[in-house]
Formats: sequence, C-alpha cells, structure tokens
Amino acid sequence: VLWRQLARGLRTLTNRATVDDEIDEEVRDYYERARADLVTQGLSPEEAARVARRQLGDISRAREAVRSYGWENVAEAILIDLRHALRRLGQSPVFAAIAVGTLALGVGATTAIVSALWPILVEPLPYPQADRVVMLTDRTPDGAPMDTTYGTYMEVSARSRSFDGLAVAQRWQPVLAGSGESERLGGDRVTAGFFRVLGVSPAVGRDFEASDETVGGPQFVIVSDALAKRRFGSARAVLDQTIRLDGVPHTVVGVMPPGFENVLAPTAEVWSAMQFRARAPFQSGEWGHQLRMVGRLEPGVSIEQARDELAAIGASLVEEFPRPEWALMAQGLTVESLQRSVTTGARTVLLAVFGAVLLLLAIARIASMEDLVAASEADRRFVLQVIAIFAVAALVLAALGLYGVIAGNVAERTREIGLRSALGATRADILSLIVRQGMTLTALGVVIGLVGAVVATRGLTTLLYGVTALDPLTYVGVIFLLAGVSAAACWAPAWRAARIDPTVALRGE
Amino acid sequence: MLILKTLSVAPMHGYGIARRIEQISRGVFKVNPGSLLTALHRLERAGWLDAKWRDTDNSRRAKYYSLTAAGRRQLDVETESWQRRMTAMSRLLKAEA
Repeated sequence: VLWRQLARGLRTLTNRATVDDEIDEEVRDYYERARADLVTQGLSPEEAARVARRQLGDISRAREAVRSYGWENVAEAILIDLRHALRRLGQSPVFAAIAVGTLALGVGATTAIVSALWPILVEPLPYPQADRVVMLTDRTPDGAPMDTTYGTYMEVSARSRSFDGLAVAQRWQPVLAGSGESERLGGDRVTAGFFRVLGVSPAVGRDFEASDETVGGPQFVIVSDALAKRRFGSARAVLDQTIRLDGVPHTVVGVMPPGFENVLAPTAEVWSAMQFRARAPFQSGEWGHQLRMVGRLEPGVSIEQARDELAAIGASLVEEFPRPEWALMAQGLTVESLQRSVTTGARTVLLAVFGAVLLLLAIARIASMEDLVAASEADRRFVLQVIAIFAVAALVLAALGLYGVIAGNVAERTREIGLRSALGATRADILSLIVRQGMTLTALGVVIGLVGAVVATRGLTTLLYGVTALDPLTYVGVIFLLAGVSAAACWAPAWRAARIDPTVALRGE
Repeated sequence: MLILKTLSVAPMHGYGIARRIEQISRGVFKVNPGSLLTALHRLERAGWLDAKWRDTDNSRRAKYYSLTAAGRRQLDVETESWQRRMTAMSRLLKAEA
C-alpha cells in the first residue's frame, strides 16, 4: 500500500499534465453521462446541461477537489516554498551566509564534541575485559594524585594479591637514527608485564620477558605496526633488526597489531623493556615519582577490594621494602579503572579544543573558570559537565545566531510582508513562510556543519585514543535537536511578522 | 463502504456508482462528484480498488473501477463493524423507548 502511494504520488509529480488530463477526462465523463441521462428523461440538451450543473455543482470545483488529493500536493507545495526560500536567500547572500555559517558552527561543534567524547566516556577500552584494567596512582599528603616510584611498584607487586599483573610505564621520547631522517618518537619504557596487563600481545615476534629487564643487559624494544610500516616497510622486515634509539642499539623483538591503541600514551610507537634496579638507594632515579602504574585485577576482585588491600599494605611497613619519606604510601594508592583515569587525561585536550567556547561562556558569565576547576574532584562528572556545557552553548549560539538573522530579515521585509497580507495572505501563511525559510537555512547549515563535524572529529581522533568519528545515532540526534531548536528560534520573528499590520507596513509608500 | 459494496457487484465508472447509490438508497444519499471521485482515487491508492480505462460505445474513454481482493476483505471488515454498531444503536434506541 505504501509502495502504491509512493508510486502514484511520484507519477503525479513527474507527469502533472497527463495526470491532470486524466482527471479532467474522468470528471467530464461523469458530467457528460449525467447530462445524457437527463436528456433521455426528456429535457433539451441546454436544459440538461443547466440542471446537471445545478445538481452536481461546478465542474471545475469537482476537478480541483479530485486534484488536491494525495501527499504529492503537500510535497509540491514544500518544493515551491523551498525554491522561493532559496531565491530569497540568493538575493541577500550576506544574510544567508551568516545564518548558514552560524548554524554550521553550531552543528559542527555540537556533533564533534558529542561524537568524539561519548565513546571515551561510555564505550569500554579496546582491551579484553577492559573493566579489570586499572590505573594505580600514589597520593601526595594532600591526597592529590601523583605518579608512582619504581620502589613502590616493586613492593606492591610483591605483596599484593589483588592483581593478575602489574606494570609501570615511563614516558620516553628517543630519537631514531638510521636509514632516512632522524625522528623523535613517542614511546614508553615499560616493565615486562605491560602488554599482558592490557591483554594485547604483539602480532609479530614475542612479548617482553622478565629477563629483558636485566640491568645492563641487551636492550629490547617492541614497536607499533605504524612505525614498522613507515620506517621499515613491514612488520616482518623490522623484526630482529637492531635500531639505534638515542644512539643506543636496541633489538626489535616484536611488533604490535595494527589496531593496537595504547591509551596511556596515544602517540607511543615504541616500547622498551625498562631496566631499573630492584633495590636502588633512595637518592636514585628509581625512587622518583615518574611512573604510571597499571594493573589487571584478578577475576572477581573489585576495585574497592584492591584499594583496601593497598591501603593495608601502605599502612604496614615491612623490613624487606624500606620506603623513603616521599614515597611512604601513607594514603594507600588510588585505584581507578583505566577508562576513568584516561578520561581525566582527556580534560586538557577538551579545554584546549573548546577554549574558545569557554571564553564566550566566561564573557556571558554563565559559568566561571573557578567553578569548572573546582569541580576537579569528580573528574568524570566534570568531563560530562564540560561536554554538556559546550554542546548546549554551541546549540544556544546557533539558535541565537539564527534568531538574530531571521529577526533582521523580517524587519527588512516588513513592506513585503505587509503587501502579502494586504493581498490576502493569512497569518498562518506568513508564519509558515518565515519558519520555512529558517528551516531551509537550518538544512543548509546542518549539512555544512556535519561535514565540519566529521573533519573536526577526525582531528580529535588523532589527539585521543579510540574515537570512532562516525556514530550515526549521535548525528541523527543532533540533527533533530537542532531542527527543534532552530524552529523555536524562527518562531518568534515569524510570529512578529505574522502580526504586521498591512496598513502600517504600507504607509511608507 | 457504500462504494465498495456497489462495486462488489460489477466494475463501474464514477457516474454509474453515483447513480446506483442514489437509486438503491432511493435518493437518501446524494452524491457529489468531487467527493465521489476523490474517494475513488483514495480507495485506489489504498489498494482496495483497481482502475482501468475502457473505451465506451460513443468513442470516449471512461475509467472503470473494480474491487480488489484487499478491497473485498475491507468490505467484510467494514460491513461487520457497521452491523455491530447498528445493532448496538437499535438496542439503545429500544431501551430508550
């Protein structure tokens, strides 16, 4: 039935003349037969025609009634409106550009923000049983989070029973020299269990082994698939090669799979086996707060249980593991899901990307910087709030922009609108004229904005890990939301336009 | 429903349907061509009627409508619900008296 509706409607739209002829023929036939009937009842042909008209009503009115049935008539009216709106916009390109630009910005910003950050906050990290992967941080005496030391890591991994595995990573940016240009790489020095904690093993070659950590032993690295392809052609080609990093030869023992995402350091392309001393003197680098610790919880162990255990370990100093005063673990260690802690890290990026909007907000005194910074306790909530504020701000800006241009346009067109209502346009006609024009702008803006959003999200994707740029649901949601908002924004000036009094509007003639 | 019922006998053109409805109802129902033809188009779109152009004796074409299988089913449904309402209504009127 739906198909039939569509097919017939389309036929009417494409073959208006033929369809009209058929309707005309059918209606005429009807009247012809009515007249013939009357003639057989004994009326003269002229009389019969008159009686038929009197009884059946005017022929053209009947034709119009038949003609106006069907969805295609509505569609046609909308098309005509659209054409009219586009023509009007062509006459005032500045108006159109401003309106479309504002909307495009609004849509683009909103969509980019939502689609880039939603997955980070909601979707699990790209690791097997990612909910078991946690981040452990030391705490300052004030309770603020702080990187851990190697000594703390050694003690916790020896004494704790909550973890399937623990590992630490230290930022490392070696210069790769060799064939081709020298290049500074992003990387991490990691303990041997690092990839096992994340649950991802190299696609080619082997994972790190405990023996790779031997101080003074040969240096081993695992590289990313991207680095292998970029500098060496393929993953196979780089395996077992010795490469010079910061002038020191390192043997490549493994290459990570292509899709591997290292959320601790999204730009890392090379990982070396950390060679730290187990019982280093307090003054050495091993006791510096410079390591990020990750762990994989034993199945069935909750984050709270792990936190309690670490607090107990922190409270009980054992002879075997002496601690310097700056790494006493007096507060225990903070344990939170890696997802959550990575989200916290995204805050800087967020602030950088949306600083401009924040500035506008500050000017508008909707939210002061202090308020936002004070919220740092609840980080996840904070990030959500920031997203919400930015998204709403973008929407509000878009709506205000649209309101402004439409209102200006209505003021400019007062005469025209007055003329229209003098010629018999109803309020509803004028209202829909303005609203439709606004919606045309919205449609244009949405299209441009979505393109912008895709580009912007791509940009965010490179800054953050694991962002999939195209989440159709988000896009559809934003489109509908924006359509609603801009309809509301058009409504006010449209209402004003509808109330224009033609005598007042035309008095200026 | 009137149209469907009328067409359940034989395919007919617009004027024929109007005449028949007027005749059978003894002039109770007066049919307006605009409404009737629109209704025919609507029923045709809904898939209950088929429309075909046929040549007639005096070298003109006329559009003949006939009932489809779906239209026949629809007629049954509507007849039944109409009769239900009728009985309910007449019971109500009797109870009133």
